[in-house]
Amino acid sequence: MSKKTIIPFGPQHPVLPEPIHLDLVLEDETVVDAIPSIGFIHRGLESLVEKKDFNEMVYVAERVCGICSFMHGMGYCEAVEHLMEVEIPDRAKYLRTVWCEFSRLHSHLLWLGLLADGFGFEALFNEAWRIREKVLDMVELTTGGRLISSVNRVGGVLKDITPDMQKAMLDAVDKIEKELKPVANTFLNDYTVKSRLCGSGILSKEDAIALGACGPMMRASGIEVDMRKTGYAAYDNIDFDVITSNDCDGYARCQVRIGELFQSINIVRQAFAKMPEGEELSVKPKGNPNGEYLMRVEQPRGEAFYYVEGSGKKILDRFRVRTPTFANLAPLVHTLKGAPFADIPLLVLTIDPCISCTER
Amino acid sequence: MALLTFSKTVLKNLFSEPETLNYPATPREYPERSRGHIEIDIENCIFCGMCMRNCPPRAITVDRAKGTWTINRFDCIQCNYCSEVCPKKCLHIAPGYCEPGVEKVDSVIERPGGPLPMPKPPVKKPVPPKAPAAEDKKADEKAADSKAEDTKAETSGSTNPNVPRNDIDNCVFCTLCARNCPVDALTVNRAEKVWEVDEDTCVGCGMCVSNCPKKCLSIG
Amino acid sequence: MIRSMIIIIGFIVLAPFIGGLLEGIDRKISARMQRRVGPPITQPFMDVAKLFNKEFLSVNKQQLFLLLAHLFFVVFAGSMFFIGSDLLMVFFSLSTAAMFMVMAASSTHTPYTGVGTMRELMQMMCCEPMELLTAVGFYLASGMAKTGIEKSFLVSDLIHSNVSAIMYLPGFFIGFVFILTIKFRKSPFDLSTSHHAHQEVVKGITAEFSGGAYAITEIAEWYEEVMLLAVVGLFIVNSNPISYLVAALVVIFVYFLEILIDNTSARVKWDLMFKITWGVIIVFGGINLFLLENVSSFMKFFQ
Repeated sequence: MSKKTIIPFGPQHPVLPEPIHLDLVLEDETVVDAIPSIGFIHRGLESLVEKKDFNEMVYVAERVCGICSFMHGMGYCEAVEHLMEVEIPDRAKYLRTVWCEFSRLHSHLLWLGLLADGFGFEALFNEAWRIREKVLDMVELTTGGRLISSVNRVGGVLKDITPDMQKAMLDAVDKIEKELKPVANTFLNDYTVKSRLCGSGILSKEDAIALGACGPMMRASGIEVDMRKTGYAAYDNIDFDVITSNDCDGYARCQVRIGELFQSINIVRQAFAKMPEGEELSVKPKGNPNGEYLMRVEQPRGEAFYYVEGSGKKILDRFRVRTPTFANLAPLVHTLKGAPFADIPLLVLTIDPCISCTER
Repeated sequence: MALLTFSKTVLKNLFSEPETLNYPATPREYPERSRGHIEIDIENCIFCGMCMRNCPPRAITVDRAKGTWTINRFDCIQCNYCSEVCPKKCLHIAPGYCEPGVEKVDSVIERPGGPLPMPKPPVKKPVPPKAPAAEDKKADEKAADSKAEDTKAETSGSTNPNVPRNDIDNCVFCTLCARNCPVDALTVNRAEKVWEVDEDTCVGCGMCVSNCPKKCLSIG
Repeated sequence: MIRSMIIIIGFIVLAPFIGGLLEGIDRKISARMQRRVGPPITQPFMDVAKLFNKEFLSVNKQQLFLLLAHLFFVVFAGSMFFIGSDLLMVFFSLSTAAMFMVMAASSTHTPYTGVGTMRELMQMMCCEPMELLTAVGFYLASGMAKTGIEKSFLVSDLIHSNVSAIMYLPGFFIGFVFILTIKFRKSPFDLSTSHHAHQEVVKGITAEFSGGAYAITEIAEWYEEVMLLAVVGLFIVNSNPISYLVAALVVIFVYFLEILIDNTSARVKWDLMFKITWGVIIVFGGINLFLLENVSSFMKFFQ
């Protein structure tokens, strides 16, 4: 049977967490071509930089996306701080690291849940999200918001983690680690799950480089790349290895992200152990930003970069975000071709799409 | 081949208490820092409008003449920036989200006892008739005066960054700053070309800066 | 005759309640397995009531007729079963019902139902052989038991056997319980349509049914569920009245097992489903059938 059918997939589709449209050309149940189109939730947040002063812009930057919120805010702040040559207090650096890893935890758990939902495993989905809720509770306890933390400012952070909160966070992390083990075991060893993940969406090492993949997608193809190693926030003082896998398929991406979950837990513990005492959380930047700077941050989904340009005014001239999902769209389309239709949700999910970020 | 790997967790879950709440029938308890909604101590508000001008979604309207502080809670993004910039620290954020509604409504908070007394209208001293002789006479004095003011303003700026500074050379002494100052900390005398700021009264709200037509004022 | 009429009316009236209640319990237990509070047990009834209040919208009005035919044949199959009629006929009218469902779905020609329908046919290919084998198994087992009756497909004869059929048909029982996962549309075999729309084909075969039409499919599913669970009970029931109690317990256990399997497995792809179900049918059903045939010929030989 060689009759071709075109299935419009999205922008509204139950398996898609966010609107992306794919025109899937099917032959039977095999996808022979996929044409993506984006642009359904463009909000023009980047151009708001021309209207808001650089301090106010922090709140806009972190609202680029709900899931990656903290790191967007931090990436913007770090970029402006570099521009204005502000050295932020050490404690603030460690606080940022802790919150970064908590956002990575909740983002990866969200992804695991969505993946489980993508292959119709509702109990696993709920279990992953139940654990995620513990992470969000801790974020809410310390920052006041479940997702959008609003604790970053140019020059440091606004809120401190008190010793009580630190204890609560460490307890939560212990509990999460314990509860995560059966979930990780199911993802990596269950027969039905493996039948779905193994061998789906192969992205070879060469293709990953040629198509410019990033983040866990890149690491699952055996390439060691992690922006945390560039040493922003307090990562230069944190001891961790980049997790990679050589399987290049959906299973490898799952493996990398599960590995990163446990790694994040370790980083949180390390950061708390190394965190210096201190009252000072932020310094007030002097003057206005002048010049340009490019900041790279490792989001849960991969490398994001922030470009800021100022000309000595309170209002920046340009703010540009390039998000990991945008980089991963080309590899996604590559993996979709030749895949069975049943694998589409999985493949769309394995890049961990964050369309809000992509379209800003 | 590991079949039904998850059954242990599932069966354990079956005999545990559910983690979800029957929300909203069972209300949720928010932590202390939870950013739910903005509250205002209207008694302390000086209606400077800093919150209005710095609110990212522009959800706040401050009306000095009516003595009202208005927030559209549906536009508010709970970022807490207004309370960061509030010079009187009369804004703060508290737990508890805005109730959902079918249309966006403003919640208006009125100052008890009516609006703040308006600042005194500018003293309309008759402009001295053009007397070139007199002006020549006073020229030296004035120059000295303005220089003194200038240095004073500069020093005040350097010691306290929260007080406005005046680039006296560009100032036209229009008195707009004084008229807009919520705490009457500015004294401007056009006739004598005097511009003074009372550092103790000034709250550093920046109203004068934003109203200055010549952009000769700066703060921070 | 009157007895049959009462049974048929009883089935038509009671089965949806039992089926809906079972689904409500299923949803509650699933929710608790996922540490959720879950909906009230009566939720399925409220859902169906709401569906009837919604507009019926279809590109092809024929769909409604085909769905009613689907419902009719499911009810027909169930009634036949409960009045003690031919088991083979019961399964055949169930297949007919399934065919009407497929026709109703494909009458709209949309891509999502297209894929869903293809998968439904694939699922039928996996579970129909086992259904027929089950009927054959019961027939052979009825001859085994010393009841004084001839081999029979009639349910009314089967329940008067002095030994439970499961004694002769353990492999058939496993195979039948296995295909129930497909019939109940539960993970890992909820390919054509699932109880959750979070699937690549959205609601698959039922994607184009709206309002009352979808409510009809729901109700038909309840009838079918009750009937299939009754077949599970038939494996246990014999002339001893206590066996009915045991049968009820076995049915509850099987239903719980289905919920457990639903909650502990991912949805597999159709080719794997095909391999697994045929594997199970051939291994359990086949060996059982082989032994049954040989044992009976041995017995005949000795007689």
